[in-house]
Amino acid sequence: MFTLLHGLWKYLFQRDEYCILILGLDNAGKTTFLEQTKIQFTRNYKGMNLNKITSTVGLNVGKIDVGSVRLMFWDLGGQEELQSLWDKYYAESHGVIYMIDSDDRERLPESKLAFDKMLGSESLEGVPLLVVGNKQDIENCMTVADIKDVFNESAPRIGKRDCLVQPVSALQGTGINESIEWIVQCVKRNIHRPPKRSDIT
Amino acid sequence: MGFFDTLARWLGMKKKEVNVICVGLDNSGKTTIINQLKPQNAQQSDIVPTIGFTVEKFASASLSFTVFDMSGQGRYRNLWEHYYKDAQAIIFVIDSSDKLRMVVAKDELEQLLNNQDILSKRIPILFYANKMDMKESLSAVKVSQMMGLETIKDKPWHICASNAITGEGLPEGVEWVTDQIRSMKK
Repeated sequence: MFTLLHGLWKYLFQRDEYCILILGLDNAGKTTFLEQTKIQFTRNYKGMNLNKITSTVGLNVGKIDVGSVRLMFWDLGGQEELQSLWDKYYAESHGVIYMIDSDDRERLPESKLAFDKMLGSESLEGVPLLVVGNKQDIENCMTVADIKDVFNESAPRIGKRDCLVQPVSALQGTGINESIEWIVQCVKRNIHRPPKRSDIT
Repeated sequence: MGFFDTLARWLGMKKKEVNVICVGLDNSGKTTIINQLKPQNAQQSDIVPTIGFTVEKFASASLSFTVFDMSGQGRYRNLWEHYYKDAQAIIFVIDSSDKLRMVVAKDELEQLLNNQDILSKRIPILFYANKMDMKESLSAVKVSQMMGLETIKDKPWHICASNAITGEGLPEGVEWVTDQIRSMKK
């Protein structure tokens, strides 16, 4: 009887919690992406002015509920010196979103370097990876195909993990829904990293 | 009076009030920072070590802050925890030129984070890596590594290098806190 009630309690008041890292070079739009996600998935959330977001030095967090799961986002600073902090979060993350500024062709190689370094980390093995080509609202930006061309060289490093390249405009909010749905699906399916259980409060 | 308050807020004449607690080791520059944030005519010209705590007020673009400027001396540090409950944000000041006592600051931060009143809240923490003008000072990133800030995973945090004497770096931090507090309120 107790087990039954306990199960019911858990079913009603607990959610699976997954931690998602948002990485990428500075000025790729990570914080904007996070804010836009919060706006789209939280009722009555006004958020900050998307045009006024400045560079992150530290950590922004966000929590959203999608159906029966809760996603906890960690948005880290992307500046070069700050990239040394990224690996501290790898062991505890269930998914990674990697942001690319589709309008910045010059820094694409730099972005790829950081990307490769991230992929090389053992503690991220098997973790689903979503590559986001942000700023698709800008004219003449690189398409997903262009980005794939460059990042294809990293394919062996990606290995068996789930991976998707998704076009997004964080400022306008297009593509966010698809991104989140995909990441939810993948982290649920990934049995190697079981979620944390957390109370809904 | 309550009616006029509501009316004033409704008309946008009165800014929202928030409580902030400012902590950090002694001689890290807490009072100097708060002093620098106050309006020009209210600033003091000389700063002495704080005993106990002082309450100060200043305003940013959209919020009016009430700051509890705590004393950083060892014997007064146990006072900090009494103010955690009402705080909507924490400002933690670090002397970035004092490598020796960085571990002490780290210890104090750990204690702060493990406090019951803080543990349950998603309260934003702003770090000022102060005294960046000193020759031997560490960069903000180095400070964040030494302080082990990456262990904070459930609260938003931000670190800025600052120079409290000239006021460099201070507005960025306040802006961040303002944004965070406003986005917390739905």
